[in-house]
Amino acid sequence: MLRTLLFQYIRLILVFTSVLFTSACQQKSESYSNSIFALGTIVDFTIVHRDPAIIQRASQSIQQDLDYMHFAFHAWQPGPLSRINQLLETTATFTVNPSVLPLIQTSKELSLQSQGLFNPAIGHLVRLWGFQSDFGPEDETPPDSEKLQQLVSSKPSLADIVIDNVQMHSKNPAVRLDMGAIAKGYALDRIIEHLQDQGIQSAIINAGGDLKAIGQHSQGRPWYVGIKHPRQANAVLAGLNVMPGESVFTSGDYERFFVHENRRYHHIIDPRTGYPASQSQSVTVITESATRADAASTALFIAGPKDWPAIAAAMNIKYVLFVDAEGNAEATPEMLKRMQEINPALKLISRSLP
Amino acid sequence: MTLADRLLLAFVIPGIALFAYNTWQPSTQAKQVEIITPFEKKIVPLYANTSMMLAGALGKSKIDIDHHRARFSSSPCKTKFCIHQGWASHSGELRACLPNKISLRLIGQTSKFDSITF
Repeated sequence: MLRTLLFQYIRLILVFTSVLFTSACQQKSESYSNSIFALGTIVDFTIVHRDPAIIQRASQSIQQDLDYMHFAFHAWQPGPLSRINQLLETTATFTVNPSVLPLIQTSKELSLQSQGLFNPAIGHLVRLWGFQSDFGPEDETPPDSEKLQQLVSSKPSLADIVIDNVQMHSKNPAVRLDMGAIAKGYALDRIIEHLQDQGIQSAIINAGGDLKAIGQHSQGRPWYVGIKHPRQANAVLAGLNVMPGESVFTSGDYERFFVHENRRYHHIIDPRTGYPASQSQSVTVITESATRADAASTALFIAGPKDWPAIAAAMNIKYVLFVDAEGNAEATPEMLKRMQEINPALKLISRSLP
Repeated sequence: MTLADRLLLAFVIPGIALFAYNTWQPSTQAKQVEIITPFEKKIVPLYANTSMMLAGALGKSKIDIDHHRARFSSSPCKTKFCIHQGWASHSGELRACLPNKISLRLIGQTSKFDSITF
């Protein structure tokens, strides 16, 4: 009896010691953060891994991937997308650059789901407003209303684009692609895939306020993200734990805009009116695909307070925080459950999707 | 209301207000500012009040540091959005002149948030 107990005791000690040794031998994960200029904005990222060489390689690949996609998806500088725009205008059939084709195909699906509110075919409208510029609108005045009306009535839509394998043509010469409302999301999805291919399991990438995360923080907790207040520079609306693989995207009227005669004109153009959508201040959505999140945040912003739940349901977005033009907020019950440290000044109500 | 009640209110209400203010600020006071330009990346302490001219993609931007805060005070960009953003005063806050490719981010005590969506 005593012998058995002694053996059990020794066995316990051995197991405990081996566990201690195993933990001590494991290299501690390192966390590396950096900020770079890419996609016309600032991209912040944090990569967690125990091997500094892999972190270094992954960091370089982020810059290279972003630079390539910036070139490929740029709407007004020479490159694959601007060439496609030239060819779409002719309505003739042409072979599409393979670096842009998947983005256009995905955009067609999402545009349809959003009932045309996410519409990357309105490049002519965006250009007329002056937002196709690295330096902001040249002339900070709204465009001529007749010109706007003319472009709206030409009804450019992604449904006008016909894709047959790698060939494409437009049925409407007014189509001009501007991927500003989806390219960032698409880029984040591709970058995260590339990081995972390199063995990175935990990272967070924020491209101009829109982010995607995998794994968790180096402290072994979920990534914790703040949602910026649309009108107060130093305040947040709430905090969120981001689950591995999730994307958090916000569309707001406060990032790219100009003020003319005390009225704010921002870059999110309503394709139905030709004017900036005026009934929303910001929309934050969470979903796994950054591409979908990007398109959906824009579509819901344009939909406004009346229609955002229907569009969110159509686009399969469960987590939404919507702030209207007066600063009143609505969140889906699922989103509400996830929001932490909610700003006490926020007038927030729950609203279910249909 | 007794004197004790009044004393309690006098201390508790400002206490709660202070707690709420600190809680809903995105981060804590910064110690340094990280500045990125097309030509360099550097970290500058925030304790000294100073100004600096930095070369960017378009020309020179001026950054002011004052009482643990930092801001753009001049820039060659057209919109001047970087200047309109005002002072950054908390750890994690970012100010950027995208056309001139210069950004500043306050760093210091650990920020409550790993990232901010906006």
